[in-house]
Amino acid sequence: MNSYQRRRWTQAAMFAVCALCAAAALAGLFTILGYIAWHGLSSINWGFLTRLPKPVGETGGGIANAIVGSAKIVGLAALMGAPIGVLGGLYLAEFGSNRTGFIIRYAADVLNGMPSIVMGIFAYTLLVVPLKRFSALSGSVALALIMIPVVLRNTEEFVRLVPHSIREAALALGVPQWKVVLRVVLPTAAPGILTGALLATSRIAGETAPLIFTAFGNHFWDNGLLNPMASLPHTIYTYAISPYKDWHAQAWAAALLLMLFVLAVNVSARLLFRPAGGAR
Amino acid sequence: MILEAQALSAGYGGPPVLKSINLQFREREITAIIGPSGCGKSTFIRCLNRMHEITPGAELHARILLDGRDVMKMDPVLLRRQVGMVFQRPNPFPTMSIFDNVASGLKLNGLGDRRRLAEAVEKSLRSAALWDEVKDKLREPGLSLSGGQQQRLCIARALAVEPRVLLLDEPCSALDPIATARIEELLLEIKKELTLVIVTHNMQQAARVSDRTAFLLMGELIEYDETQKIFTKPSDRRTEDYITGRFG
Repeated sequence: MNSYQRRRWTQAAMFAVCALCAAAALAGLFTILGYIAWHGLSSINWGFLTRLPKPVGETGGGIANAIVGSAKIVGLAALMGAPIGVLGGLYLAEFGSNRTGFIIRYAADVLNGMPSIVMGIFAYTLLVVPLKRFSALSGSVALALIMIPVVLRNTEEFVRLVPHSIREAALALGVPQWKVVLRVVLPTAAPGILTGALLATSRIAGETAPLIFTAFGNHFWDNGLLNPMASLPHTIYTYAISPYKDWHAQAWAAALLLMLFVLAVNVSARLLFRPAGGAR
Repeated sequence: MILEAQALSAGYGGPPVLKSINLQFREREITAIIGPSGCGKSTFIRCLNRMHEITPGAELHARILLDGRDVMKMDPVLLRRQVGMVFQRPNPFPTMSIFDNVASGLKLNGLGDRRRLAEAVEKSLRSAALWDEVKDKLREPGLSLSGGQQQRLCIARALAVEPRVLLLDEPCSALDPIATARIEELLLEIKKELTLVIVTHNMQQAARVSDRTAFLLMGELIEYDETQKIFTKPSDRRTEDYITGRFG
């Protein structure tokens, strides 16, 4: 076998290994997605989407309160987390090449790897204990705390990608530094920043652990942000560990719903903020 | 003398890049700064509008006078509105249309009157010899233009804030000969209105467009005189060696 043939064999073998690994990764993913869809589809109907849960033993009932609750809790979390993350990331990218920047960056990376239940405990001691009640607000705070470091680092990356020449061009026009950052650099990085914020939002929409002892869950319509509130991941959790068959079925359906929501957010994030004209 | 650098020394924390340069620029003339790569040409003009100091670690010791006023005591933001700059590579703002690119300096500094903006944009684009090519597509992105058009767009953007001096840092080095010729033509046109300082490593370009030429070598000013004299009867041996292509 000459060296050319040997190289071709190596190429073919390595290609096969890579393809196999990709297939293995995708197989696991699609099995889970397919399994959820298969189990969930049969229980999704109009009543499931629009009604309140029924007491154990009665058939039917839905999870409308959890759908609305998730929207409220996650929406509020994004309203708190995204601005802090974006502005903090902007600070890190533009003025963070010092000791303070290093500490913030390091802390954000550590928080990124923190189990999400720790954020739940933090929100519990911060809000639930002093207010003496479980509340949707405390759940939103826990989710916002998970979201901030993700958005922070993502924003920093995208702001750093803005070419130095763009900043110089603006500075050379006699524009003050803060205006350059806010009116030239930020808009240039905006598609990436917004995509990152949306993806982080869809990520926290699936978090269960931080909600267990903050938003707590609720079988009825919620009574405002300072009271317990149902949410999709928490409903899935409660229903899945219950001993009832029809609750299991509804948990599958809720999981499918959550999955479709995350998919919709991801797809729309990519479509909405595609770079104009295909140029990068 | 509209602009004057006295004993200008600059560097980036290490050995000095520029050693005590003295240069005066006359009003409504084009001054070319030539010299081999790394001689400090770009650093020099970046000192003149204090863009040098945005580089981390940059050092600058000089007395620079604009109309007799000490530049080092001015607010750099206000200074840069009077001493504009065009860079080596075209750098239009990627999120802005052609119109907004030209209007950006005025808009970002608070001018909101649409009619005055439109007038300023047309005037600047005409000065930059770009108006006829873009007048029907002012709303299209600045990046949709060709490289040469983008560079003229950047010149129009710099002209729109009506600077008294325009610094050009090798403005044609990323362009083809035809685009270069158009820029040279427009430079000769706009020098009727303002003072130009152009850094170039293209000696023909310096000979074609400039009234005076300064030759820099390893951070020192070797010779500064009328362009014609520099290119025909240089008084320093090193200048002659450089322009005849013996080194560099």
